[in-house]
Amino acid sequence: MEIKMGKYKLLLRSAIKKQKSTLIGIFLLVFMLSLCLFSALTVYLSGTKSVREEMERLGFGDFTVWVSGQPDNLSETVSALRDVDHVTVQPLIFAGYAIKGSHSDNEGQLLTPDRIVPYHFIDEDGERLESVEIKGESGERLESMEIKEESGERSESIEIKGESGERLENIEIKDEDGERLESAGIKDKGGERSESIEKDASGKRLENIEIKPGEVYISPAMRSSYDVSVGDTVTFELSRKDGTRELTVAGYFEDAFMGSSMIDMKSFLISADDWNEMRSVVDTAAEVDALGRSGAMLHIFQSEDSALSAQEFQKELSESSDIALYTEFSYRRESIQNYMILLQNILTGFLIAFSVVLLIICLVVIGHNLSVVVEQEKQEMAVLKSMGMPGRGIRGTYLFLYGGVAFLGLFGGLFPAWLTANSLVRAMVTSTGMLIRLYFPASLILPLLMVLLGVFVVYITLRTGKILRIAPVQTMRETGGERKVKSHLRGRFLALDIAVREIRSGKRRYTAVCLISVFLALFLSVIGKMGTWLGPNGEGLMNTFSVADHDLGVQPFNDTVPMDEIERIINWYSPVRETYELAMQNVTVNGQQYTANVLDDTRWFHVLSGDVCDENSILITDTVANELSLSVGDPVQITSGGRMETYIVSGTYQCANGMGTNIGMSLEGYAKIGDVSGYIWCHHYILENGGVRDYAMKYLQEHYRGVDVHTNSWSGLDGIVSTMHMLIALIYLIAAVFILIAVWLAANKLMQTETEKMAVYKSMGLSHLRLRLSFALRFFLVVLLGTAAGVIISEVFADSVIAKIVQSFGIGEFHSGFSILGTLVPLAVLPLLFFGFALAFSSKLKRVSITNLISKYEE
Amino acid sequence: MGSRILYGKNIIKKFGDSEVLHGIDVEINEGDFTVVMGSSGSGKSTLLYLLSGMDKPSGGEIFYQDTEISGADEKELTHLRAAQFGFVFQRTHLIGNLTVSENIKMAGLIGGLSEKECKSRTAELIRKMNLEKVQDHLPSEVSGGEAQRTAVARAVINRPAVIFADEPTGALNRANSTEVLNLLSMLNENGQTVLLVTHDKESALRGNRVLYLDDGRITGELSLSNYAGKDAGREEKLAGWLEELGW
Repeated sequence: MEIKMGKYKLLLRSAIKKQKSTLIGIFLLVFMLSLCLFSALTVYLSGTKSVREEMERLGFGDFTVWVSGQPDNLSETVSALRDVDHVTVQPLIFAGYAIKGSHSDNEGQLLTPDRIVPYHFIDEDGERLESVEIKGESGERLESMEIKEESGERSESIEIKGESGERLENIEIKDEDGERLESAGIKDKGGERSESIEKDASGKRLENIEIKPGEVYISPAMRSSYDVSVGDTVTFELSRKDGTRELTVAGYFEDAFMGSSMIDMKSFLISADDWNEMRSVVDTAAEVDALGRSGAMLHIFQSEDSALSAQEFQKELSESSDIALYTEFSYRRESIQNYMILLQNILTGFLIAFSVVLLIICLVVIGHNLSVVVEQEKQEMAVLKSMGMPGRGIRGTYLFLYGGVAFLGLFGGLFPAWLTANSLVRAMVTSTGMLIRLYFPASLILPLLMVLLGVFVVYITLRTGKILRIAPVQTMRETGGERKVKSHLRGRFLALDIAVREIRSGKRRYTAVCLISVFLALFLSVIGKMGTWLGPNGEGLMNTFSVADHDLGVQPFNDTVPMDEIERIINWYSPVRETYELAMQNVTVNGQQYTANVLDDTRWFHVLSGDVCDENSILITDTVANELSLSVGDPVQITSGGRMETYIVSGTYQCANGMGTNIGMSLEGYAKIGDVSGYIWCHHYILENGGVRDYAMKYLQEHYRGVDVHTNSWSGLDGIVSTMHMLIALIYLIAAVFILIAVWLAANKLMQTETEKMAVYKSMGLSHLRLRLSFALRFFLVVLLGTAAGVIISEVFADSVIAKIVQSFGIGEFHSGFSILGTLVPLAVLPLLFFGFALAFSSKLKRVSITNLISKYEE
Repeated sequence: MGSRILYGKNIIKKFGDSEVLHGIDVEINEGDFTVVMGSSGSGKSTLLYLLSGMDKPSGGEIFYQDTEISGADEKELTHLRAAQFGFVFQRTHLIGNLTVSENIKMAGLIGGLSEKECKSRTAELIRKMNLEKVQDHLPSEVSGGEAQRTAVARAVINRPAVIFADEPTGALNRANSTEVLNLLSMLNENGQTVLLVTHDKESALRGNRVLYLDDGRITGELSLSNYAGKDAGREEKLAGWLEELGW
């Protein structure tokens, strides 16, 4: 048996020696595929799990309702409903705020960590904080504490649990100097014994930060939107009479809902002392003076035996309790999760899609190289066969070699993928607002790895099938012939003409390069289209998410706001071209809660199908149409403040706000069920010169109180735009590296095959520079062709495919049209990259010696 | 005898530690048909490639028309190959995806001939070399003799000053060999300088000057009259000379 294996070992060793650079190139390609795919999958799965677990840990219900005021017995009423398991209440304060002189468009919600489970804190670099201070009531550091039962008895035993609930065997509690504390009393804020203590990501540390009076902890996402850092001041506007409260940013915390930069409203974590004092200010302020208001989050848990779907449960809550009367806004657990991981899903989704393209490219490159190798080694293989080595054995050797390289590349990419995922989640902290806890999704990744390996093995087996068909004698007699083709040979364009001739006579050699460019162009074009649609400042998303186009929005909250004066100022910045008014009100549609976007001029709705609404009809988004199974012409019942009316769906419209959970109504239509006389209207202005909107907004925010001034933007937009731009840059970078390796492999193989031809050209007096130019031009021409095909496919199909994808984000329509980024950039960049790399690698041609043409030269 | 066109002084060539040529002095005269003979491993092909600038000597100097080429850079050598030198190899080394006529034309285009001139020269050479029937065939579709005649035509399209031929009949049968040698003789009759390396006596008979190389040194030189067809006396003279040298 050993003797039998020996010949294969010899063959294997010889193949490795001959194809060393090819094997290294293929390893690098598969390694990058593994790196890209598994890092994206790790971030995607960890992010989803992390957000879900953090929401569970922080006590978010199946359905969370933000209510204003302190409605009596509301939680008890809701708790008593048949399908409700229980309700927890997290009190909060709604208040406007300003950071570094910049007023927020939206209110913030002030929280205090009064819950058993503490929030997670992270530092400016996105690292979870490592230190914990355990202090006495007077603030002194406690050296020794007793662990007591609720009754005050000293507890002999306390169970300390990890995140997944397992009992932790060894926990070190340290003082400020890093000394190990021998004993510590662990209590919650109310002095109750804590049932659970969290360990940090490294498993060593507790995470309980004492928030001191005067301090505020904010979401790290605010660093990108407000450029805020530790030591800056946040000014909260509570009441006209008692003024404002200034708190100093002491650090960052992870907020499993408001933390994401996708959400305008932000949470602030403050000390219990500050919170109580501020709550009393807003509660005691006269209505006319109040700027802030108290409220609460109601976390509603559906009972396990409830048979209602999420939508039916929501409907049940609205219909069987008064909750709709107090609701500011509400979200299902899934909606919150989707918001939190939206950016991350966009990023990882594209990386995973790109990985599929990379997989195809890997297969194309492997297939091409195997074809060339079999062609080059055909004579030797025939000799081996004539010596009695079976074709299956030779094929098996190549399968082992190439399959082994694929295996090494796939597994080799795993650990770097983990490190990359780690860097990605840290880089995304200022967008996601959370430091995603990474876990290795072995149950998915390992089977996927085996599937990928299987794909490679099957593909290599198929591509080496030719080896079995090599007939020894016939092959040994074969002499290489080329295809006859006609093309010009002109002195002035000789390099180009030689390149065209080479491509035309050896088409199969260039198929792989062409296919690679088709796939890359297609993908880069799609990415480019997304980028173009998004616009340099996110204009595409602004228009998609906003109810209607506008440059500036001004919403007065009371009658002291001088709107005439404000409009004069806006006109000073730029003449106003158009103006209309918008109100966003909570309503229930067939029992489901949605936001009604009410316009006094319905022409401004982005109608996708059907007609614009009137006093008897409404517009719905595609999301609402799907959720409620509605179509144009269907009747719907809309309720607001106890008044109900029936309307007809007149059409669908585009507004991705709240992921599309909204409807459009006319002022006259809404007036049938709601009060339209209050300060609910936001005046929208479209300026002749939209470029001045930010200056006008800043001026108005600085000089007027009791008014909300905003542009057609939101804080999350910057995050999305920068993420998208980062994604485009990243994908172009990966594509460039892939192209580099693919060209290296293809160029090496071509040069190996054509050494003699190159020497002949040199002997005829063709300079090596013209030879190199001609060589690189082959890649340029083939890739130009492939790229053009990819771009055409993208132009024909991309919009409809992207439209399907973005529909899940509530975006009903996607049209990119012709764009420089999506069309011209790939068309120019790809051929130039291939050309440049081929030109660089062809420097080897300088070393091709005419003496190669001499038989037995080294006499 | 014409003037000296190509000469080398004290040419030394080493491959690693092994010295193949040991300080050779050699001159090639314009219009001569010079043949270099020698046994296998004597260094004759090495000498050809050093004189043609395809390789660089380890020592000594080589001059073409009194300009040193042994130290010339790639650009200067490229120019020489394109316009002044023509090469014919043992294996034809035609470009596989160019037809017979395109192989000839390509050399003309590289040499800087105008397209019109290139076209007429190609047609003329195809006629002279008797390649009309195969001019649109690929090299893989023609016989060895036709391929080598194409290689000769390719070598002369730019009217080079010197043709270097390395065993041009080595892979051909007798009939094809004679055809190729006739072509070279015909060219030489018209004033073409030819430097031919061979170990074949039939080929050597075409020269008017024969150099004999043995172990990296020129050990003999024979002058003959210009070739004018089969000549028993010429054959005898060459055979006797070779016998003296231990051939």
